Amino acid sequence: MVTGGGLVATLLVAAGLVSLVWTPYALDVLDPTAAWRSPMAGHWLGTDGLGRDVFSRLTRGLLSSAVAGLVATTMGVIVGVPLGLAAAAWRVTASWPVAGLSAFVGLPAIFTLVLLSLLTAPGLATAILALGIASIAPMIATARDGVRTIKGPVYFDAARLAGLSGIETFRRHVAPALARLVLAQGLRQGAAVILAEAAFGFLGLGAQPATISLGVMLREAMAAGGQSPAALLAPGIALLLLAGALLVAGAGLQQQTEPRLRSVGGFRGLA
Amino acid sequence: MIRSSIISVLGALLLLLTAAAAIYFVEVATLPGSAPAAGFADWLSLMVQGDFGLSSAAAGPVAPMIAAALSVTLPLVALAAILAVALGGGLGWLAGRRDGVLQRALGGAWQILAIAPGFWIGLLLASVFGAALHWLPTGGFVPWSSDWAAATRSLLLPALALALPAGARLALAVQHSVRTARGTRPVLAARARGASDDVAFALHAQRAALLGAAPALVDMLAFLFAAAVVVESAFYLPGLGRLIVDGVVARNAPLAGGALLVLVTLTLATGLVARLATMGLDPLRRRSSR
Repeated sequence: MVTGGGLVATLLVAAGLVSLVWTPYALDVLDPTAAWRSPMAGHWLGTDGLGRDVFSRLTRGLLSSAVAGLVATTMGVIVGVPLGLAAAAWRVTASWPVAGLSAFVGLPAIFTLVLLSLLTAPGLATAILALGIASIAPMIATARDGVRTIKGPVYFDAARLAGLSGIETFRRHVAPALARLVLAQGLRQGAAVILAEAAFGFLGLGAQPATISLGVMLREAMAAGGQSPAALLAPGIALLLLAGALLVAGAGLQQQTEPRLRSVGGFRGLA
Repeated sequence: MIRSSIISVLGALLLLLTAAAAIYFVEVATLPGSAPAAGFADWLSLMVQGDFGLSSAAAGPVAPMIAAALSVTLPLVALAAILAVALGGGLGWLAGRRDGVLQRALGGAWQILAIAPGFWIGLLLASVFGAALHWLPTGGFVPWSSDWAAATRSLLLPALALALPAGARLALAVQHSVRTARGTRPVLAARARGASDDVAFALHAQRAALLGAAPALVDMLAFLFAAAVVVESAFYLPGLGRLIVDGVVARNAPLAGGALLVLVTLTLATGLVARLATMGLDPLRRRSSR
């Protein structure tokens, strides 16, 4: 599971990275005479309403998605994991403030997104920030519950009895498993971020038309009333593949690391 | 039970108040330079009374716009919830009863459907059943007052687009819950005593399976409103989602803020009611004060 999911996700992200240096066609050159071409030898996925090559833009859209997923999830890890550890370590004093905070940052990401967009301006960066904030709460839960589960087995007590200090026990017996759990959860949250970013771009509240993103491509395909089935299908399938691959890899990694730990509420969208 | 219900209610209220304070802060921060700002307490009491202030685009008060939007969003979410529970819950229940190739295939299909974006499913449904087959409208909304049958028809595809991913998630949870309940000791003991599979399930697993799936149902109901905001957009429906998007695009903070506050209230209230109902159903939770 981990290998398969990881391989597909890596391939898709690699296609996105390649788009930085080379794409089959220029990304932004308009050619109205070539609008809505159906898929054929020259244009694998046809062209959009402005005559731009759908496949080329798809690879760059995948890059936008991958960047959004990586940055927002990293934000969630950097803020959420220390808070989760604090909640696990000082159970009595830290659990209430942390629970309150995770409830607030657990509001639908669209709430944060709308407020941030009103304060600044809608765009890919604003969407990533809102999704980063929404990624904090699940990370808090992962770190907190992860530590509690890992502390259960007897080898943990044995280490304490053998005279290891708290920090040394943590380093030897908790940190490695916790890192894998956080990575597993991060992969799954990355998938949720990617799906939500596309939804925001589609709404017009995330990436703006100047940015190439899968959500914006779908929005443009819809505005044209489904003139080209390929322009409507391809971005959605790419989105599904990338998010699905990340989810599969994350679920596999979690199963290998800590099968006893139930995933945090299964898959839940962030939008 | 009583203590935990009170904590749930207080928690939801506190969260709502914090959300309202955040919206208030943004509305004040985006006011044009000279405009006077009402205090938070005054603003909040106006909101509670249903006075959402004036839309800054000079289009008049926000409250009637929200009321009109709710006449689209509420029926849409209700229809989607019914579809998701009937289709997702029902199929998940049946699939959980046996372990075969078909059941596993269904589970796999649900895994994929569960992550499919609702708006994309909506676009596909609209182009197949709307544009190609002409069975249902591809988008737009006929007001209830002019033709309620047409209004319902314009909500069918959006509700299906919302219900498919939500129902797939529910189906997965129900299937898992039923399968787990089937393997518990009371069921195995009944089977050992000679009870048929169906009798053992009805007597010893049914209720546990329902309770096991309840958290997923709570999650799904609360999530539907936020999901509806996006799906509405794929069908050009004039619901809460459109108010929020228009408000942000026009930088109209009272409009976007008011619609957002209604959205958060609906989400929290649905989640709270569903959670309290689940708690009341669960005998273990009713007895202990957890």
